[in-house]
Amino acid sequence: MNLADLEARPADSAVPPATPATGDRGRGRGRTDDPAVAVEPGAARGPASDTEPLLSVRGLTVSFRARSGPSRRTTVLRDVSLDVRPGEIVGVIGETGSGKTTLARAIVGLAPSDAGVIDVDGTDIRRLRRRARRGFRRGGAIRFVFQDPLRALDPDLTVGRSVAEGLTVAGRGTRDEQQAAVADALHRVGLDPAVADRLPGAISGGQRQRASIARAIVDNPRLLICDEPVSALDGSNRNLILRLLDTLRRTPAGADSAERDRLGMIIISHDLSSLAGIADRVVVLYRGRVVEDGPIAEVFSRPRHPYTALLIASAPSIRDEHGPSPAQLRRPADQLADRPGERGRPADACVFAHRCPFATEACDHTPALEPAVPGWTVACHHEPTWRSALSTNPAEAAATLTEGVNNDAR
Amino acid sequence: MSDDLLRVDDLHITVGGGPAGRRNRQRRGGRFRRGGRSSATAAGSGGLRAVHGVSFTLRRGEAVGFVGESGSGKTLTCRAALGVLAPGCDVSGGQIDFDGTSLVGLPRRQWDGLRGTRIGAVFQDPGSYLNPSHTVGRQLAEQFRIKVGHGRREARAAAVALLATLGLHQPELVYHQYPHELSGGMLQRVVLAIAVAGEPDLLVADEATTALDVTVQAEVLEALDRLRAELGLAVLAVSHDLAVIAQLCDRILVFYAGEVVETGPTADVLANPRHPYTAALLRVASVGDWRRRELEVIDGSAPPVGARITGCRFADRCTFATDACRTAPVDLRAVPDGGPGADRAVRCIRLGEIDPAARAPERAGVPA
Ligand SMILES: Nc1ncnc2c1ncn2[C@@H]1O[C@H](COP(=O)(O)OP(=O)(O)OP(=O)(O)O)[C@@H](O)[C@H]1O
Ligand SMILES: Nc1ncnc2c1ncn2[C@@H]1O[C@H](COP(=O)(O)OP(=O)(O)OP(=O)(O)O)[C@@H](O)[C@H]1O
Ligand code: SF4
Ligand code: SF4
Ligand SMILES: [Mg+2]
Ligand SMILES: [Mg+2]
Repeated sequence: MNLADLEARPADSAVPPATPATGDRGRGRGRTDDPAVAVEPGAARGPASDTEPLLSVRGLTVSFRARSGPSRRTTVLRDVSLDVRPGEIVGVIGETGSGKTTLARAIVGLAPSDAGVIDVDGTDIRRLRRRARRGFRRGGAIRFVFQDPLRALDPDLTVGRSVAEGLTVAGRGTRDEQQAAVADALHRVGLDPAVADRLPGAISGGQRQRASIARAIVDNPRLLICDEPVSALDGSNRNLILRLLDTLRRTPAGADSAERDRLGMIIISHDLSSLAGIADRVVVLYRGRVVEDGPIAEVFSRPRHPYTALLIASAPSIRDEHGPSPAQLRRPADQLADRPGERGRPADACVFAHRCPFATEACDHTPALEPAVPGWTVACHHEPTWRSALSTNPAEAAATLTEGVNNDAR
Repeated sequence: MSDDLLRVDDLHITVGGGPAGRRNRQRRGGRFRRGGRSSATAAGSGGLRAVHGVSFTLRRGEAVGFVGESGSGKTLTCRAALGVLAPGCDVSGGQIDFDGTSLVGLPRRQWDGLRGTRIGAVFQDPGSYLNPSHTVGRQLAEQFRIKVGHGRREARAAAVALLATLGLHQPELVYHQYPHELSGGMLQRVVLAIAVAGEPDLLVADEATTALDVTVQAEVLEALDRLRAELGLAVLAVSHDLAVIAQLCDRILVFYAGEVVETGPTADVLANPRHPYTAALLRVASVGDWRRRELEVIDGSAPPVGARITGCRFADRCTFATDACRTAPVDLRAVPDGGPGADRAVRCIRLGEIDPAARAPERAGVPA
């Protein structure tokens, strides 16, 4: 599909069929009777891995002007690559400040990128000229749900107008059709359609978060990027939204549309157990680099990167009782060299080296992100051997590995 | 001097009333949205009732947590206690006492004094409360200068130290950044720093740790615990993360549709919920085994704000509902067998008759 197609999408396929949102609200909202949300435990949910990606990011680098410090720019994302196939949900995790929001913003063109390729359906949108890029954005192929809903919703526009914006900008459907589509979107995220008349400041935090999700799904995007979509929601509404997202990517946009047209999704979240509930794959960011990328159930069960292992060991909700404890994966405090210039490693070292209990001299060079097994990439010099050093005292873990390497060399 | 710091008694709040109800412009960038009148107006100027008779007491150094359905009145209750209700929202009944001073109908100037020095607040959507054109360091240092009376350099050092305490790795760098240059989790900690900089007696923290990863969240909770121990800081925390409430709060209030449906010591309520809504919330909130995708929801939806309901407001969704539940208002009753000194109360007429934690068979199971 090229850009002309995107812009010239016929109005009738773009506006979702309006389901009556009045009456029957109680039962409809729970949607327990909707067969599309049935989730079979352990079933393969994503698309076959040979499907062409919908979004393909390669070597994306983003930096900002530094306000202080020795260098003139701070690099926030370095050489980041990831794929999203139609119908697939890719989770992005990583500590606060690791670059998750920046990645999302760069993909939708809200953050300037220094290098790389952002390929959506065969078009490198980084190379588009301004007008084409704007046309692309208006085409509504990619929708973004902001981490801070107040930023997404114009404080002076009613919720209904904000949700409708994608449709009105593209001139899709009649006014009545647009209103019906808005009511349907609000209903699907569990909101009383009456909130359409209120301003964002006059609804609750969780209602704002759901309104901004409604805004993003109202015009059937091809790719949906959600930054912490359920962080402000109670358990029941959180699950309602997760199920909605799961339903959206399973259902092709129209009756006669193909597998290829299914919605692809990126979900950024600190809530690892919720993510595990719906994502197919997970990408782990650490200080702006992808350190691991693989099938989520496998990665969470047996992570291959020491940072992923630490992250998962620190999350009580998904931690495996037989897995390593956080203490086993942390370097003892007296051996931490976290501040720049302090017994520093070279700038080119593995990003995790300053905290990694398994770091050796080899880690003074950035490890490449390489497939450990097909479909599962890891950036660590000591994968898979670091696990063998686990049982030992963390202070000696690296020594064990160094010996191991030396022995192998002999 | 009494031990009670904040006493809220039978608080009623109406929303959407008055001329400002629909389309008033809201300021962005200011720390507080001012203009909320806190005078008790009998008729609530034609607004809809969103909070119905909430009562609780917060003692010095104590931490109380609000949990419950999105849109159930948690934030409105906090804002009323801070005198920062949005235009169109009014306290239509009840009493709010802060350290012996009645806050309902308090003149604005006195409010400003209180908020500035004795009460600190973090609201949802923290980014919108910072001034986008000043560095965050400047905004934080200002607190130390105004409220603690530090000089310029002292204030700066104190600001950097506080940012470090809250787990920001490069506090000097963050000091010089503008709000839009920070990640969600960094911003949240900056706003928290601003709220506690003046060493207030009370911190209101509305979803103040939602943007943090587990590790940083643990650091922030530890920092709050220290402040409670060192300064006798009392905390009013709102969160959907029950683990956060469990760790931080001594007591918990469970909100549903503008009412408190259950209250008691946090550990007791979470271990042994006595109200059907609390039990349902706890059940769906835990993901259980993450490998099995049980994304359960509570069927149905809460009544909209302003709905006229005679009986129990949860009845439409309650698996234990009987006709009697719908005929008369249901009061919050003390739990007789709540245990020694447990101080528990539940708003359910079938209290004692039913075991809400046991699943009603007809609605059990993963929806198919
Ligand atoms: N416009 C900008 N100018 C300078 N630095 C920026 C800018 N935007 C982001 N950064 C920096 O980039 C880093 C990554 O920020 P980002 O918002 O992507 O993190 P995140 O992974 O989304 O974190 P969180 O989980 O806290 O939301 C942070 O250190 C942040 O300060
Ligand atoms: N300014 C306002 N005008 C009209 N209605 C309002 C206003 N502020 C809040 N409401 C409504 O009052 C109800 C309670 O809102 P409140 O913000 O207290 O919810 P909450 O419990 O904090 O929810 P959340 O967990 O989603 O933040 C909601 O239904 C909301 O839509
Ligand atoms: S490359 Fe070395 S420092 Fe980096 S994660 Fe692997 S073992 Fe640790
Ligand atoms: S009063 Fe009746 S409807 Fe309400 S919670 Fe109790 S059992 Fe359920
Ligand atoms: Mg972010
Ligand atoms: Mg709220």
